[in-house]
This record gives sequence, C-alpha cells and structure tokens, in this order.
Amino acid sequence: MKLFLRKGLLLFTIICLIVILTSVVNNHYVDLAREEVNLIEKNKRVLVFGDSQVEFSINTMLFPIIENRARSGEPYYYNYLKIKDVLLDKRNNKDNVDCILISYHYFSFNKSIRDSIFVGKDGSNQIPTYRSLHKNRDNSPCNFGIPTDSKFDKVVLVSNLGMINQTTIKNFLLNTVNSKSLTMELLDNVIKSYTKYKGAFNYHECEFNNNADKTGPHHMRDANDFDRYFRGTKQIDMLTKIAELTSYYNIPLVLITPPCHDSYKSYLYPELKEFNDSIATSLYEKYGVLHLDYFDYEMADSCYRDSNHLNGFGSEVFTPILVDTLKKLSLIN
Amino acid sequence: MLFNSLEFAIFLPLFFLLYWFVFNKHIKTQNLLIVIASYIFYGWWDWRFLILIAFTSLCSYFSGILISKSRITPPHNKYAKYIVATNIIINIGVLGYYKYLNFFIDSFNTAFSLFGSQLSLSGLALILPVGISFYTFQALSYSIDVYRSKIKPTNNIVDFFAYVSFFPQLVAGPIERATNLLPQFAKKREFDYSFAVAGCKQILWGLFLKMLVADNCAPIVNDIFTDYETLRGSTLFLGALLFTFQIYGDFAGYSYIAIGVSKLFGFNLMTNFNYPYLSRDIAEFWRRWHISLSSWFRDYLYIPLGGSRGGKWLSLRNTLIIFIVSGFWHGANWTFVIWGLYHGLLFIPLLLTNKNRKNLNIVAENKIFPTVKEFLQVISTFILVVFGWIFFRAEDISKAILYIQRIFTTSLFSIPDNILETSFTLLFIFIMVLVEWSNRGKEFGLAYISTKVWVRYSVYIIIGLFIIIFAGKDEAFIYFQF
Repeated sequence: MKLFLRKGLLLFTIICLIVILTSVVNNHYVDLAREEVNLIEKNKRVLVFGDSQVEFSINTMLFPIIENRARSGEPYYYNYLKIKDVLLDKRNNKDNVDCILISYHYFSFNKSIRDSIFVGKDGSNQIPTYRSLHKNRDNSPCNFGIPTDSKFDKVVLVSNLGMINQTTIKNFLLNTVNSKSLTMELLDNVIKSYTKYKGAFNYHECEFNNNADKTGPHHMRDANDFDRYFRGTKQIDMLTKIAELTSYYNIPLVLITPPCHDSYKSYLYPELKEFNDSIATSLYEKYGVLHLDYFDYEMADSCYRDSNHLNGFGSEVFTPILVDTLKKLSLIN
Repeated sequence: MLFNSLEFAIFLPLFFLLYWFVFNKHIKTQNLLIVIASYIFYGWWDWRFLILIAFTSLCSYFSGILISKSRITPPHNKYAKYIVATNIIINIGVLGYYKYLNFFIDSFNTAFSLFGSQLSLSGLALILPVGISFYTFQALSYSIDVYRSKIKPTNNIVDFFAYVSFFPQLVAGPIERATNLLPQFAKKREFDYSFAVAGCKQILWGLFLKMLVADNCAPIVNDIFTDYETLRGSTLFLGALLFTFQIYGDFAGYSYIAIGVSKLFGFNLMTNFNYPYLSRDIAEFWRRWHISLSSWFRDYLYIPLGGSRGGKWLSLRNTLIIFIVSGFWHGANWTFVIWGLYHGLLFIPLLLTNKNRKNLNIVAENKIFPTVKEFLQVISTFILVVFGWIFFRAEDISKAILYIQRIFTTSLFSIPDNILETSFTLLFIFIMVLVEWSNRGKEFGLAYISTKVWVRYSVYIIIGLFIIIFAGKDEAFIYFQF
C-alpha cells in the first residue's frame, strides 16, 4: 500500500508541477497581453474592446479620440482584464475616458470560445492559454489582413499548440492573403517585424466574400448554433463583470452590434436573437448598459469583407454613424 | 456523479482512504461503507431515485430468500417459479414504466392515426432514472440464478445492497452476475499492489477514451448529424465514422474506469469490451462488444427460448429475438430496434453457414500485422458496424435512411467539410487504434507499455496532461440514458 501511495503521489506531483509551470508561462503571456493597455494614449476618450466585429467596424483613423483595442476572437475574459487595467488607472487616463464600447454579437456567448486549459462547468479558475499569443497579431482597425474564413482555423489550431513560428505565419499569409496585394518584400517585412507589426498590409478595399452562402449553414453554425453551443455561462459572467466594473467606476459601457450582411442573417436562429436581447435587457436594467444594435442596418455589399465583417470602406461609413449616435446620447462631446 | 468530474476526483480518494484505512477491520463495515458511498454517488444525480434502487434491491433480495424457503418445504416447491416470475414482472414493470411508457403511448397514437382514427393519449412527464436498465438487469440475474440453483441466496442484506448498487458499475455496467460479484462481498479484501496498479492504468485508459476520443468526437458528430441535409457525402461518412469511435470511447471508456476503480478496492469485474472494432465478422463483434449485456441476453433469454437446440429455424428465430430485444433495451425508439434487427440480419448468414464461432481468437494473434485477408475482414466488419451506428444515432428511421442515401452521392469522394476541425480528434483516434492494436491480446489498451519505468511514467504523464489540456467539452456518458 505504501509503495502504491508513494508512486501515486509522485505521479500526481509531477503532473501538478507541469500544470503549475504551464500556468506560470501562460500567465506570463496574459501579462504580456495586458501590457497592451499601456499603449493606449492619454488623449483617447472612447475605448473599444471585443472581437473582430468591432475591430473591423470602428475606424480610428477618422476619429482619433477612439482607441480600438478589439481583437479577432477575443473572449470577454481578456476584455475584462484590459478594462480592469484601464480603470485601475495604470495609465492615469481613466478620467479622460468618456465611454467604453464592447462587441456584442450573436456568437459572443459561444461556448466554444476557448481560452483556457481547464474545461470546467462554470469556467471559473481556468488557466488562459492561446488567446494571449494573439498579441503578436496586428490589431490596427481596418488593416487587418487575415480573412475570417476557414483558414482561420489553422491559426487557432497552431495557436492551440502554442507553436506559432515564422514559417507558420509565412505559409499562412501566403495561403490566405491575396497575392496581388502581398509582395514578397512586404511579406518579409511583416515576418521580420511581426511582433511589433502594425497594419503592415492593408485590406482596405477587399472584395466582399459571401462566406455565409458559400460555405452554407454548416460554417455559420459554428458561430450561431443555439443547440450545439448553447450559451456558455463563462462569457455571460465575464460581460456581467465588465458591466459591474464600469458601473462601479461610473464609466458608461455600450454594447455594439455592427451591421451584418443579409446572407448571414438567413442562418441566424431566432432563439439566439431573443437570448441576446434578454441578456442586453438585463444588463441595461442592472447596470444601465446601452446596446446599440446595428445588426439590421443596411449597407452595400461593397462595405463588407465577408458576411459578418465590414471592410475598410464599411468602417468609414459605419464609424461616423456610430460616433453621431454616441454624441446624440451624450456619451461623447 | 460523473467519473470525469471534479466531484468524483474528490470522492474517490476520500472513499479509498476510508475503505482501506478506517473501515478495513471488519468486512461488514466495509460493505456498509460501499452501500453508503454508492448511494451518495447515485443520489448526487437525483436522490429521489434512490428509493427506486432500494425497492429493486429489496424485491430481488426477498425473492431470493423466498425461493430458497419454498425449496426447503416441498409442498411449496412449485411456488419458486411464481416468486421469480413476480420479481421479474415487478422489475420489468418499473423499467417499462419509466423507460417505455411514453414510447408505447406515442406508438399507439401513431398507429391509430395511420388507420385514420385519432387517439390522443398524452404521455407522462417522466424522468428516466440513470442506469435503470443496468441495475434492474443485475438485480434480476440474482433471483433467476437463485431459482436455477446457480447461486445460494444471501441472507446478508448489506452485501446484497452493495452488489446491486456498487458505485463503479452502477449506472452503466458492466452488468455483473451475482455468481461473480456477490461472493466477492462475502470475503475479506486485501490490498494488492499489482492489481491496484492495473486498475489505475485501466482508469487512465478509460479517461483517455472518454475525455479525449469520445468528448472530442461529440460536437463534430452532433453538428454533422444535425446538418446532414446540407453536407457532403464524405462529411456524412466522416460523421458516422466519428460516432463509431465516440460511442466506443464513451462506453468502453466508462467500463474501463468502472473495472479499474473496482480493482482499487479489491473487486474483479467482468470484461465488458474486448477490442470489438478488431473483429473479423459480426459474430465476433458481438463476442467483444458490451459482453456483459450480450451474455446476459444469451443466458436469460436466448437459452430459455430454446437457444440452438431446436434446429436451425428455431435458432434463427431466437437470434433475431435477442438482437431486437437487445436493440430495444438501449432505448424507447424504433431506431434502436432497427439497429438490433440490422445486426441480427448480418448475423444470420454466419449462423446458417455455421461460421458464427469461427473467429474465437484475436486477430493476427502472435503477429505484428494482419494478413491481407484478416485486414479486409476487419475493415468490412467495421464498415458494416459504422452503418449500423447511423440508425443508433439518428433521431428517427427516416432520417437514418436519408443520411445513408446522402452518403452515397458523388460528393462521397470529395474532401469532407471543415476537415481541419477534426484534426485533433483524428489524432486521438489514431493513438487509440495504435495502442489498442499493440495490446489487443491484453485486457485493455494500456495493459502493457514497456518494461522501462521511465517510459511507463512518461506515458502516464503525457496522457494525464493530454486529458487536462485537450479534453473535450463535458459530455454525459451516452449509456447513462440506457
């Protein structure tokens, strides 16, 4: 019995040590991701967090008072950490912030948004993993060069393994980016400086890729399926925490749902819309969180890069509309 | 309580310490601890259904005593069969009420509507008690074995309650026989190091199958089976293939964990899975898949019906009955009946040609690779099994048929949709097949790893980390619902 317990304990200890070590490394990456907050300039009055929907939609070049720190696929967990850092006033610019905008979409509560190595029932006490590695990717609005299509899975897959390297990035870019816009010289520059790369190649005029109709409902289910990915409580909890936090610091939080192409809407389940509306309503009632829903706002095909992302032109059309609304609501002067 | 849950990770070591260090002096207290722990384990899901297990246990316990007493007093000898029959009716009645009542109501309604008349019997809002089919069959086997004088009835109610509710195999088997398990409660258990280590390895392998293979297959399978009308033939075949591995990983995984956990406490449960996907024909598959259920039906249904003693046709009839009942045991849906019938029909040619007991040994015994013939036999049997699982998984028969029809289109030869999503899952399946092939003559996949300690430890650690990092979303064990 003693031998059994001793060996069992030894194995258990080794596994625990590896997990602890992994968590230390991961936390290091989380810290790196959080450092991004330090890049926010003091004069920024509107801060944008969330995923690629707002990342593509809000063009900071038109309105320099806006800082767009949204990133593709970023879960609310990271948004929470960043907003917390901002509000803890690490950069002494808290008082300048008029409001915080956060992405709110029909897959914002997707249970498959995975950012941790422990899969628990409520998602608490989990160790974040690959999302933080996305730090290495460009997040400059409207210059984002990675199309949201099935190729994106490759990055997720590679990131899951924690093995992003230059060859991967190079192959990935070669496979996905329109060769006309991407010269080898530019590619090399991107690769050389990819850790600090900011909008190195522009996808401003990318053509509309109707990925919803092209790949069919199967593809869109990944984002929308109410039954399969019935809403993850973790994302809801995190958004609620963000609302609590901003409410505590008396900074208005606004949920932004950018426009989507009609091809996308046909694959959206009505239950999902009802569900999202109910969450938004409860956040409004509890914390006064506003929801600006532009989902049905009609825009020309030329404004979309794909069925649920605007392109550069789209962002130029949409951002003034949004800013105007924010002004009317007295959220910015 | 799920084996792959945090609750169980706390429950198991706690029970282990109490069992071996606190209650180890007397076998009675140790058995009482097993009953209490088992009831906590089951009650964690829904404590109200503990009454049902207790009721089933009491019925079978007293039927055993009454059968025995009726045998002692000759004038009452004939009552034995009435007692066992009553116990069977009560137990099957409870099972039928919870599991099949709504199915029969729906079927009656549908049947009447087919003849143009409206019958609108409404079903009841019943919750299916987890594992009811398993513990009911286990309790029944005891009273039948007592009636057949295969086992003496026990007078120890604690032992009997422990036998029916023994937590490792309570909710999804193996369906133990009283002849094997009950005597183990009556004798003192000693801790055996090598037995316990084998148990731990079996648990680890079970977790691998469940959390890495089955749980990673589940979302893809759900997706494909829900969206089958819009997907390519190749994707649908991939879906069926992944479900084949999902159900194996899920159910065999549970069985391995159950057997492994039992070993930690000095109990030896029967083998439930013996590399079924390495079978060379359907008969061999059924000797290797869910062995405890197949043998239960063989002993308590097939043989009483006459088995193969009444000639070819009677044997054929009995075989078909067994397969259909076995299908129906899995769930109150015609899809399960068709699944059973499908396997029965595949079995019949073997029976007619007397080839049903041809492949009794493991494939490629004492060899590294199979012969071409063996390989083709294994693959063809596997593919037949894959198509059978489509009926098992589909919501109804028409959807299953449509699913199969859609596989056989020109798109069968195209690259499946979103193949990249399945990469990890396919990797785990590949590891599983490789490990099981190399250990196919042993009790389970990890039974032999290497003689070198560092290799063994590395394998344990890698699997442990894989489980922590890559485990799929928590999924309940499929067989819980049966």
